[in-house]
Formats: sequence, C-alpha cells, structure tokens
Amino acid sequence: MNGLVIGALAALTMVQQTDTILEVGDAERLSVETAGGSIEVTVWDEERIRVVAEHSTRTYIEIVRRRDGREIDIEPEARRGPANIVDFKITIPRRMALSLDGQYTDIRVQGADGEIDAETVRGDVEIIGGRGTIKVESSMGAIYVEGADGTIELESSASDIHVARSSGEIYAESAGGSIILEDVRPRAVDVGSTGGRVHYDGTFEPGGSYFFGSHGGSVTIVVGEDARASFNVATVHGSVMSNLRGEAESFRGGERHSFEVGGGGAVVEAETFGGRIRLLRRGSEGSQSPVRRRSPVRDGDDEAVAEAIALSSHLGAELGAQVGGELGAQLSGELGARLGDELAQRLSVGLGYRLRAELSQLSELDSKTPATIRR
Amino acid sequence: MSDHISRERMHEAMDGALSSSERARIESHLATCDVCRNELARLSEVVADLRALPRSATPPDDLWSGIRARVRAAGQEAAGEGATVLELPARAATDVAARERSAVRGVRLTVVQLAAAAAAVALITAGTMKLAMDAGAPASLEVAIEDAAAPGGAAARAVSFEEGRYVDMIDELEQILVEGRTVLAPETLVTIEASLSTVDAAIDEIETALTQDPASDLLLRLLTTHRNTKLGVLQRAAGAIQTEI
Amino acid sequence: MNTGPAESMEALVRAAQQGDMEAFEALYRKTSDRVYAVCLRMSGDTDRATELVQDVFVRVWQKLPGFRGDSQFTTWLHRLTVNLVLQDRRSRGRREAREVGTADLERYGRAARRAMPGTRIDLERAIAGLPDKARRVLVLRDIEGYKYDEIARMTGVSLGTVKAQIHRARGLVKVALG
Repeated sequence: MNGLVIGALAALTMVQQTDTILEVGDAERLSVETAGGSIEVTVWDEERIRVVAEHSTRTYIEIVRRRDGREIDIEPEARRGPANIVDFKITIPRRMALSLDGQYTDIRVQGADGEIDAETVRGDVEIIGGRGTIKVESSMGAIYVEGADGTIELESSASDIHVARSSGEIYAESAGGSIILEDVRPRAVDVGSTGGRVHYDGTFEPGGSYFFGSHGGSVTIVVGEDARASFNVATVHGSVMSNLRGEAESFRGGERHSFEVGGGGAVVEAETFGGRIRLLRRGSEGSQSPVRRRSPVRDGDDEAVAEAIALSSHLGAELGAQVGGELGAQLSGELGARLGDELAQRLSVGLGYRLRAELSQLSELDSKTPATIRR
Repeated sequence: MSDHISRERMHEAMDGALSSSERARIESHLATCDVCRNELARLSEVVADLRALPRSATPPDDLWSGIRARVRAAGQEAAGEGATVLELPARAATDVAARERSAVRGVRLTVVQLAAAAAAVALITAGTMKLAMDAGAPASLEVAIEDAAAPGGAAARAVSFEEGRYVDMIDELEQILVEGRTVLAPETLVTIEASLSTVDAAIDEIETALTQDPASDLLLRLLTTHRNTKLGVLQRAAGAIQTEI
Repeated sequence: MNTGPAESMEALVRAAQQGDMEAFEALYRKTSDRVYAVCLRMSGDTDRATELVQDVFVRVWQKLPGFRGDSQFTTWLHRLTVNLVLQDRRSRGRREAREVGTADLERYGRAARRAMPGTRIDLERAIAGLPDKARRVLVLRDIEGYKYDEIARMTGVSLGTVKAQIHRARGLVKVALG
C-alpha cells in the first residue's frame, strides 16, 4: 500500500530538495521561519551548517546573514504564490542558539546546547537536550522536553506538556492540556493547568521552590524516600490525599494542609479549585506517570512511510495552491484575485499539514494493528 | 441612504481609478449622503497627509564608514552554495537586551496593532474604532505580569496586575479574535475556542466562589493563575492572526 | 573632498563605476537621505533602516558596473532600495511585532522627527505600527507614488491583493489617527 501511495503522490507532486552547507563564521544564532512542514535540528562537530530542505519546485530557500554575520536566517520563499510546506533537516554546531518559528510546523531539536526559542501555532515541539533558556510556545501542539538544563519556559493553549530528565527552572502553562514532569531535578518549578492534570515526579532541592496548580484536574506529587521538603496544599472544593505519613489520609477541601518530610528543606505548594491533590510516596499506588510520550516527529520509521508522509504534505500544499488559484480565477476581477491568493495560501499550508497528520495517524494505526490482532 | 459607497469604490475614487459613469453615480450619492461624504473626507485627508510627508530623512549616524569598510572587504566573500547569502551588519545591542525579558513577562500591543489585527477582514467594528479614539494620544494597553518565581515562595508568587488594564487587555485580545477569526484555519479556531471556554469556565467558577468569600487569597491566586493562562491563550491566538494578515 | 554640488550625478556615477571611492562617497552623500527615508518608513524600525541603508549602498557598489545609464541613476537607486527592503522579510517578524509597545513607537516617532524635522509624528507612528505587508505597500503607493501595478510586480503579489492591502492600510492609519 505504501508503494502505491508514494507512486501516486510522486506522480502528482514536484518535490525538490535543497541541500547546502555553509560556514558558521561568526554566527551565534540560527533562525528559521516557515509556514508549514517541519523543522528538525541536530548537531555535529563541524563549524558548518547543513541545510537540507524538501519543498515544492515553486519554493526556494533563502539564507541570509544578519547582525554582522552573528545570525543566520533561513526562510522559504516562493517564486510565485505562497511559500508552502517545507521539511527542514538542519545540522548545526552544538553551541549555536536557535530561533524556530512556524505556523503549521512540527519542530524537533536534538542535542543543541545553545538557547532555544521555538514557537508554532499548530504543531508539536520536541526538544531533546538544551542548555540555558529554552522557550517553547504552541497554540495547539504538544510540547516534549527531555534532558534539558536551564530556564525552561513552556506554554501550550490546548495540549499536553511533558518534561523528562531535566533540571534548572521549569515553568509550564497549559489551558487545556496536562502537565507532566517526570524524573526531573529542578531547583524551581511553577506549573499550572486549567483543564488538565498535573503530575510531578522528581527531586526537591534544598532551598528550592515548587508550585503546582490546577483548576479541575488532579495534582499528583510523587515524593521519594529521601526527600526533604515541607508541603503546603489547599483546594477549594476538591480533596487532599496523602500517604506521606505512612497511612493514607484524606481531607476535604476548604482549608490548608501542611506536611513535612525529612525535616523540611524545599517549599512545595499545590493548589486547585475542584481537583484532587495527591501526595504520594514513590512506588505507591497511583504514583506512576499517567501518560507515555508520543514523539511528534517520527524517527526510526519505515522509510517508505516517512517518505509517503512527507510527500503527502507537499501534495496537499500543491493541491491547495492550485485549487485556491483556480477558485480565485473563476471569480472575476479584484475580488477573485484576492480570494485566490488568500485561498491558495491558506489551503496550501492547511491542506498540506492535514494530509500529513492524517497519514501519520494512518501509518501509526497500520503498525499497531498487527500486534493488537495477534493478542 | 440604502446603498452606501463601498470602501473599495472610495479608494478607487481617491486613486482616480473610476470610470466616468461610476464617478457620476458616486457624486450623486455623495450629494445626498452625509455618512459617505464624511467617510470619504476622512479617508482623503489621510491619503493627502500621507502624500504630503517629507521624502528624505537624515540617517542618525554616519553610515559611510561602515559602507566603505564593507565595500572594501567585499569580493572575497563566498559562502553557501545554492543559496542566496547576504552579509548584513550589526544590529544595535539594545535590541538584543530589549528582547531579553527575564522575570517580567510583558504583553505589549499598541492600539494600531490591535486595530490592525482586528481589521484582518477589512472590517472595523464600532468597538475598535471607539477604542482607538477613546484611548487618546499614544494609545496603548500594557500589562506586565510579574511572574515571580523568584525567592519568597507563595508571597512572591502573587501575580500583580492592574485589574482595569487586565480587563482592557483581555477585551482587546478577544476583539481581535472575534474579528480576525476568519483568517484562522477552522481547526485552529476550534481548538483556541475550546481552550478559552475551559479557562472561562474556571474563571467563572472562581469568581462565583469569590462572591461568597471575597477575602480568600487562595481564590484570588487561582483567579490570577487562570487569567494569566487566558492571556497566554489569547496572546498566542492574536499572534497567529497577525501572522496570517 | 572636491565634489561640490556642482559635480553632476552622471560624472560621479561614471567615476564610481571605475572604482573611484571618493566619487562613490559623494554619491552616497547626495542620495542617502532619500534612501534612508524609504528604508525607515518601509521597515518601521530605525535600527533596521540604518542596516538597510548600508546594505543598499554595498549593493549599489557591487551592481554599479552593470548600470548602463539608460535610466536615471536616482530612479535605478530607488528601485534597488525598494527591492532590497521588500526582500527583507524579517524587519519585524512575528515575535518582535508582538513586543512593539508604545515606548518603541514613541521612540520611533522621535527618531523619525529627528531624521525628518518637518514630518508629522502621529502619522509616522501610525505607519510604523502597521503590519509589515500593509506598511510596505502603503509607503510605496501613497508616499513613494508607485502605481498599483508596479507595486504588484515588485512585490510579486496580485494586483487585487495589492489594492486590498493598500486600502486596508489606509483604513488602519485613519483609525490610528482617531
């Protein structure tokens, strides 16, 4: 089936690859701005940057040095019409700072040690590694950070935020999604979810401060045997459950409750409106992390599937541009031209992204099905 | 008057791009319609003002030495195959500093920009117009939310903002969303609205609880947290709208 | 420097084409104010504008040997400036746009007044506060006097879109002026 898909897509789409290597020179920061597709950044030991990009033949990649060469900017441009879906694979020296900005864009960074600033509207973001300031914002996508150390600021409007094996300071905020911090060693935490739950499993450093908030979702704090911290929790209408003092204890909402383990140390606070607050010894029932992460950008995939997915987005983009243009042409005059442009832009990026997302899901189902059936 | 002159026609009239019959039609309409006459007058005034602006400006510094240096250094520049690579000069250091915001997360949008975002569909509501006018001279709404993760724990966490300004800011951002919503992809809009209704429901519940127990610092803090979240959601939505227009 | 105002533009251009740096400097002195005004208004950003002016003249130096004089040097320079600014997609990207506050616009207004003593600060601020695309086409049409179809060609956007953008930009300026 995959071969068929690729054949059909390849016949319809003109995909082009840009592959270029440039010297880093004085550049300290790499900035990528794109409408749709994906940005994948990895590192190597060379003082050069390699930019591989897959895009339609209408699109070309512009690379510009700025600020006396201290910054390199990468941006797709179109010879005519909107620049649409581009899949970037970029390799940089480890120390370089990154600014990655997209709309319908999945972003993945692996191994970079510089400051990272990633922003997307509809796409997932995955950051593996990272030192210094790591700032991620996504309106609709999930955020996953692993192995980072620094000031980590994550915001998602609708999706989950997941941080694993990281340290430093962690700030996270999600309106609709859950926030999960797992195997972390931060010295400061401030996370809040409105609609989702909050789960913390990590250390409490001496003098550190930790705040967890939720409205209706539960807040679960997993506490290790050797932890030294004082817990101060409050809920308006929810309940509090703790097994820190051995036996499980439950309390109604409305008042503040304090617990101390190991003679104090760190200050831990949790507050909810209606959600349950649970303070659990590590290993006790319910202390397991609630969800497994799902990598937003697929790796180690069947190459054919990956290729089909990439092609699908380009096809969607081309189709979108074409349909938009034709629709516009059918309408007359100025209104037609304007509508055509807008439609082409909107459809090309939107359709490309949607096709990609749907195909990704299909292929995932595909690879899961046999296992399920066998059971 | 039932059939006002469309905005597009007005602009065309100012550009002298109307056929004589259209012009005649418009002129006869203008003779009897105050609304269109005023609108056209205001627009023409703007265009006339723009056309009257000076067209030369003295650069703040002497840029020549930088140009000469680059011109001399040019020639042996070769970077990146298959890509356009331009070498551009340094940007003022203050710019970098300005972007480095640490403890204070500021949301700053000018009315011009708000109006700009709001007018994505070339439709400006009376509300926006009123806002722009009421706001007076250098109109701006500014909310600085101090994200005090710094020492001091709970006390320092208390988020400070001016109630009035917060409400204004939220109103304006919501207005942007209302008027710019059509530029967003439908799924994006659905998600944003779902996030907002989650936050709004939470805020409502807390506000109701506050009427029973107005002094509860727990409620106040929760309220602040979710308002902050709402601001973030709206801010990202406005950002998404802005990139589309 | 021996290049007084009497020295003709054509003579300076010819000398600069031969690599005469003094002549090139004289050309810069004669024309940089015009170039700066275009860069300043189209970018809405004083820092970026000074960078752009430098870029323009570096580009002029590189392209000068190919300038054949079948159009006026000033026309050629103007077009080159506009094209370069139009290529500058990031004069104020999304991230920065969100952070431009009153303070920035006020600072911009003051800088614009220093650069153009006769100008109207409120109008300059209103222009600077426009979205990138809207600002650029508005400046090209209503200040620099290009025709709609010329702007469409330069920006690579359809005529209808250019018109719509300009109309919208005028409306926004009107609103901003209150």
